[in-house]
Amino acid sequence: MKARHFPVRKILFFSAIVLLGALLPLAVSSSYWLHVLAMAYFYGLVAATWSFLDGYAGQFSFGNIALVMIAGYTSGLLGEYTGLPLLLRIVAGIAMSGLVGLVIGALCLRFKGAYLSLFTIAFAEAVRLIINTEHRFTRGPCGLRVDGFFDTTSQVPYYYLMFGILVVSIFVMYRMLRSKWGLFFRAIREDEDAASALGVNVVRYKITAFVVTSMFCGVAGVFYAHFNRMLAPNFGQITTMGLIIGMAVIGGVENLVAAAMGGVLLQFGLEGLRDLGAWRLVVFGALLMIVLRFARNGLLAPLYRKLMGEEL
Amino acid sequence: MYGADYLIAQAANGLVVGCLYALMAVGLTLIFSVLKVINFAHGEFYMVGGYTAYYMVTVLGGLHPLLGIFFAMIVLLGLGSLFEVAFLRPIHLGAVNRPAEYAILITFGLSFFLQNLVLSLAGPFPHRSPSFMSGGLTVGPVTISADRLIAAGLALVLMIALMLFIRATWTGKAMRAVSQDRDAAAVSGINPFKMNNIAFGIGASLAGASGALIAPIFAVVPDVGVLPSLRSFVIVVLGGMGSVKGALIGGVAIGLVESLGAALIPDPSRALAYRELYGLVIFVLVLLFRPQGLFGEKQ
Amino acid sequence: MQRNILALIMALFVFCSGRAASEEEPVRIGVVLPMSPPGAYASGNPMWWAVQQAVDEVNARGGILGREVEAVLGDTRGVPEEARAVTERLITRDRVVGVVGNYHSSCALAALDLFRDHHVPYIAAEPWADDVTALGYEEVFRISVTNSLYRDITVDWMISSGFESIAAVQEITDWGLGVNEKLTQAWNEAGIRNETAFTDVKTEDFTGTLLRFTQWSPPPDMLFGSITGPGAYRIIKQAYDIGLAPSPQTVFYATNECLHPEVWEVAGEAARYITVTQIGLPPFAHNMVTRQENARFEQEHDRTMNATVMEAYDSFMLMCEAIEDAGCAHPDSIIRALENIEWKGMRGTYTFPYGTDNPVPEDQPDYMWHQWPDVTLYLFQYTEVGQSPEEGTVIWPPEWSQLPEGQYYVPVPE
Repeated sequence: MKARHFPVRKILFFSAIVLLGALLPLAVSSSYWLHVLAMAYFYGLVAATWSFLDGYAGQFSFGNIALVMIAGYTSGLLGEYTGLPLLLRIVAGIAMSGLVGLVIGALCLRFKGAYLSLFTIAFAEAVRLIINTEHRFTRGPCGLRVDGFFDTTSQVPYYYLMFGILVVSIFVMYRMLRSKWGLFFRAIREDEDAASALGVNVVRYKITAFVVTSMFCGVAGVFYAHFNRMLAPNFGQITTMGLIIGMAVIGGVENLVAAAMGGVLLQFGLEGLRDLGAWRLVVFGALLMIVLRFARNGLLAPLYRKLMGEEL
Repeated sequence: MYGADYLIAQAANGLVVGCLYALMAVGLTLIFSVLKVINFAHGEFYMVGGYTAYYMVTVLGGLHPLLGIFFAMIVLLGLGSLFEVAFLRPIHLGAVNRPAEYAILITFGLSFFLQNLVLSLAGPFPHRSPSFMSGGLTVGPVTISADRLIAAGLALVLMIALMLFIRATWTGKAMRAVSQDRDAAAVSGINPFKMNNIAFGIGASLAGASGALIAPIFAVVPDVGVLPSLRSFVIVVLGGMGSVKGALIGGVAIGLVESLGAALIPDPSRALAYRELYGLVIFVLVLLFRPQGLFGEKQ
Repeated sequence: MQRNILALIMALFVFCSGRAASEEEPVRIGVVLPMSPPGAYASGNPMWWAVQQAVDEVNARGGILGREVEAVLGDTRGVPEEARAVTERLITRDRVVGVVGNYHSSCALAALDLFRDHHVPYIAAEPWADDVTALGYEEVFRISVTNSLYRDITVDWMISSGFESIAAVQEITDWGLGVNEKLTQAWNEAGIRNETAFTDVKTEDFTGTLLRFTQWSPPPDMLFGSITGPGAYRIIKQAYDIGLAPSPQTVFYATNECLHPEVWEVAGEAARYITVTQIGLPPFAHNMVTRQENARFEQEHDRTMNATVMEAYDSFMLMCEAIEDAGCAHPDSIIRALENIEWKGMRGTYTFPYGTDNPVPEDQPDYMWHQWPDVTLYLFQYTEVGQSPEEGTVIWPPEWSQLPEGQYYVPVPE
C-alpha cells in the first residue's frame, strides 16, 4: 500500500520535533529540567504503548505499569544476584515483559471492555503486592538499588538515550500500525466477529498487540530502572497508571505521537505546579477534569490533525 | 491444628466485614449497570462520606452518630448527581468518541482531586467518629464489637432497601429498564438522563454510607478509600457486573476469603500481607471460568 | 573587639564568594518531606510546620548572614523516584545551600548520591537506615536514631522485662523492614520465641492475624504493633477488642505514631497501658529550648511536638546555625562548621565528632560517621486515658525510669 503523495508536512513536522529534542540540551543547562524531560519522555513512551493497545487494538488495559515494573525488576534483580552484563539484563527484562504480555494476552482473549480493564487492574495490583511482600528477595519498599547506564553524574547522556528510545520506539510502532497489522488491529477493535468472518486471525493479532506493547513497556521499564538507579513497588500503583492514561487521553488516544506528547505535557504540568505547594495535586486534579470535559476527544490530537491538514 | 472455635471466630469476623465491603460494591455495581461507567472515584466517595459523618457528629452538630450516616448519604447524593450532570452527561449525549476512556479518566481525575482536597482542608491526621454503641457482643467463641455489628446490620438494611426500591418502585423499574436497553426505555417514556442521575447519586450515597459506617471502626484519613475501592472492583466482577445481588454475595464472599486466608495460610509472615491477593485469585479464577461473574448475564 | 569580629566576618565574606548570590537574595535551604499520599503525610505535615516555625524565628532575629532565610519545600510523596527528582530540583533549580529533612529511609537513600555529586550538605532528620550515614558521604549528617541503635536500646528492655515470646505485626515499608530485620536477629540471639506477620501499611483490619496470636499457649508476653499511619491506632483497638493486648498477660508495644494525640481519638481506652518509644529526652530532661518551642507550636497547632517533629525543627535550625558559623554559604565551609558544631537544640546539644578530621574508630560502627552520638530514646507507658506523651510513665532506660527498681513496665490490672 504505497502512499499516493509524499507526506511533506508530516516529515517536516517530525524532523522539526526530532531536531528540537536533539538541540534542547544546548538551551537547557539545568540538570533538573533535563531530568524532568527524560522522565517526561519515559512517560510519553508508556502513554504511547497504552495508546497502541487501546487506541488501535481496542484493548483497555491497566497493566502497562506492571509490565514496566516487571522489566525493571528483572534487570535489577539479575544484577543483584547474578552479575550478568548490563546489556544481557536489559534484553532479559524486555523479554520477560514480552513473555508476561503473552500470558496476559492469552488470558484476556476471554474478556471484553470493562472486564478486561478490571482484570488488568487486578494483575497490576498483584504484581505490586508480590514485589512488596517478597521483600526478602526484591528488597520491597526499601528500594532495589540498580546500576546506572553511564558512570556519570551528568543528565545529558540519559536525556539523549531516552529521547532516542522514544523516537525509535514510536517510529517502530508507527510502522507496525501502517502495515497490514494495523489494519487487522482496527478491524478487531471495530467488530471482532466481523473481522473473524473476514479471515482475520483474531486470536493471533490480539496476542501480538499485547506482546508488542508489553515489550515496549519493558523498554521503558529498563530505562526507568537504570536511569533512576532505584526501584520501589510504590511506583507501580494504580494512581501512576491513571496518570499515564490521563496523558494518553489528553494527548489523543488514536495517535501515538499525540499520546506521547500528552505524556510530556502532563509531566511538565505536574512539575510546573510544584510551586503551588500543598494545593498542587488539588489543582492538578481539577485541571485534569476540566480539560478533559472541554476537550473530550483529546487536546493535542485535533491540533495535530489541523497542522497536518487532515480532515476528520 | 486450629479448633472449630477459632474458625468460627474468624468466619464471623469475615462475615461482618464482608457486609461492609458489599455495601460499597453495591453502589459501584448500580452505577455500572445504569450508566455503563466504571466509577474510579468510588473510594473517594466512601472517604468523603466518612469525613461528612465525622464533622457532622463531632464538630458541627453534636448529632447522634446514626444521624451522621444519614447526612453523609444526603451530601454524597448531591455530590454524585452534580458530578453526573457536569461531567458524565456528555457520554450519554453521544458527544464523546471514546466513552470508556473518558469515563475512567474523568472519575480518576475526581478521585485525585477529592483525595488531595480533603488532605488540604481536613489535615493529615486520622479522625474517628464516636462509637454507635460501646462494648461488644460475645456469643460462644466469638467476640465482636458493637460498632461492627451495628455497621454490618445497617449495611444489610440499606442493601435490602435498595433491592426493594429497584424491584418495587416505578423509578427502580425505570432504572432497570434503562440498564437493559437505553433506547427502548427512552421510547417507552422513561427519561434515561434522569435515571442516570438518580443511579449515580444513589451509588455515590451508598459509598458515602459505607464510609460513614466504618468511620467509628477504622477511622478516616484522606487516602482511606484506596484499598476499599480496589476491593470493590474485585467484588463487582465476582458478583457479575451490574448485579446488585451478586455484589452483596460477592462482598460477603471476599470478606470470608480474606479472613480465612489470613487465618489459615500456613506461613504466618505472609498470611496477612497477601490478604488482598486471596480476593484477586478468586477474581481471576471466576473471570477465567465464568467471565460474566457469578450472577451476571452472558454478554 | 566588636570591630575585630566585624572585620573578620567581612573578610570571610570576601573569601567565600562561592555560590552565595547577591545580598538581597534570601538564603535558601531545601526541606524534603512526604506531604501527600502514598507517603507518611501525617508525619510530613507537622514536620513542615515545625520548619516554618524555625524560619519565622530565624528571620525575626535578622536572618542568617544578614540575609533572610527561606525554606523551599520538596514533596517526596514517599516515593524514592520523586524524592530524587525533587532533591535534584532543589539543588539545581532553587540553588539551595543545604538540604534537611526526609522521613522515609528509601527516599533519603535514593537521593543520597545527589548530595555527594552536587556537593551539598544534608542533615537527615528522621531516616533510620544505618546506611544513610554508614556510606560515609562527606555531605551527609544525621540527628535521628539508627535502626541498630533503636534495636540495642529496645531489645535490652525486652530482655530485662523477661519476655519469652513476642508476636509482631509488621508493616511492609522501608522503615518497618529495617527495624524488623534488626529486631528479629536480636530476638533470636536472645532466645526469645518470635513470629512476625507482615502486612500492607494501609490494612484496616488486623483481627484475623490477631486472632491467630490468641491461639498461642501461653499467650505472647509482648505484642509489637509495628504499624505507622492510622493503622497504628486501629491495631491497638482491635487487639484490645478481642482481649489480646494490652492485657495482664501481654504487653502492647506500639510505634511512635502513638505520640500523636489521635491515639486517644481512634483507639480510646484501648491505648491505656501501651508502651511507646520517644526518640529524645524524657520531659524532666527537657531544656529551655524544648519547652519554649513546644509551647509555641502548641499554641499554633493545638498539639505538642513529638520527637520526629522536633527533629525537623532542629535539623533546620542546625543548618542555619552552621551557615552562620561558616560565615558564608559555601558547602565546604558549611560541612566544616557542622563537623565542629556544638549547638543546643530541642533534643539536646548537637555534635558530630566523627568526620573528616576524626574518622570513625575501629571499635565504633560505620553509621557513627557524621552521626549525632548522643541521640537517645526512652520508653514510656500511657497510664491514663488522654495523657500526653510527657505525662506518661517513663519505664526505660533504668537511669530515667520512674518505676521501682527491678520493675520494667506497668502491668495491666487483672
